Amino acid sequence: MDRRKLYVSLLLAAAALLLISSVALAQAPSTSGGVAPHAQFYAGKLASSKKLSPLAMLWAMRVLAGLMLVGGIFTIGSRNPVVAALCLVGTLFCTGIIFLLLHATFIAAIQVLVYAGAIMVLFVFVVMSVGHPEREEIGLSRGIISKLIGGAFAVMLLLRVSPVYMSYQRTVNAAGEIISKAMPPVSSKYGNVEHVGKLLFSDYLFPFEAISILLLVAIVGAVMVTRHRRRDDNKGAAAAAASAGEG
Amino acid sequence: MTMINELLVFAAVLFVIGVIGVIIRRNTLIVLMSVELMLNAANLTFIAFSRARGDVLGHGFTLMIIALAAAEAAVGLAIVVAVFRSHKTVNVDKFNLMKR
Repeated sequence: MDRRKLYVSLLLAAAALLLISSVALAQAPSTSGGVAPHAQFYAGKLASSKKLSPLAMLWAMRVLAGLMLVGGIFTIGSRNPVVAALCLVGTLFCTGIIFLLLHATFIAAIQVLVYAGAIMVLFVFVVMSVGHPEREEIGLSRGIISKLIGGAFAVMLLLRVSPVYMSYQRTVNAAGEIISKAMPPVSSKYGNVEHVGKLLFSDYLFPFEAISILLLVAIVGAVMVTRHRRRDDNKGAAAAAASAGEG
Repeated sequence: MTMINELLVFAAVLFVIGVIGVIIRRNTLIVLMSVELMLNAANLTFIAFSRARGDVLGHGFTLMIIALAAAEAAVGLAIVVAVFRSHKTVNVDKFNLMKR
């Protein structure tokens, strides 16, 4: 498949999915009757706890989420894995900023540090070490039926899930208007290190420790898998010992 | 709340993009990146619901998912390096050493 065609079709597919989702939303019990009514609905509550107005936050979220999706598309579409890794960094970064919009300050910092920092360094390192990108047939080259079924299930999942998402915490009042429950106002401490730490070290202490064991196992496993196994290990060791003895 | 609703749909679309990446790409590294995209979409959903409910439970789950993603990336890339060393390829279709 031609690369440019792939990009265009992926972008069109994403746009179509969003469009279909919004149509599904229009059929769901809760139609979004434009942005303004909802913005007005919770403007009073959020204005006290936020510096950004709800409408500005909404559009910031939309722009960031759009960038996120474009980054995702270029991640899966680019031929060169280095380009894909950089696009993935952009995607993760946009997600981090969206976390900030949602008052998840600690998670946003962790997202940038761990994901965009550590994991991506790992990826780029491996991409560099495995050399040239090889010729690769993009598309449904083998097992086309199973792939089509899988893709269809993924899209169907999206179409089933998005109306549920869009009607989340929305009801219709007696006059037939859609009412969104206001986002609960949160204190300025919401989502900071103290808040998350209290959760992790009280109720979720065991999962937290289990994660540390998982990381340890993963590190040991990674080292074991990549260890160089030479046929002439004994010979090499003997030679090294001999040279050390001479020195 | 409109923002949360739309954000959830965006996260779902990002997840589907990840699924499509796993389906259509043959380069193992990019397949792993697509898995990261899917995990990231799950994170976004957790944080959005957490904000909508006004509690902080989803943040804990997100931290664990991030740690899980780190472990998954480390092991997955280690396997890629090991297979590349023996097969000189990163094409998923050629990773059939269990069959022989």
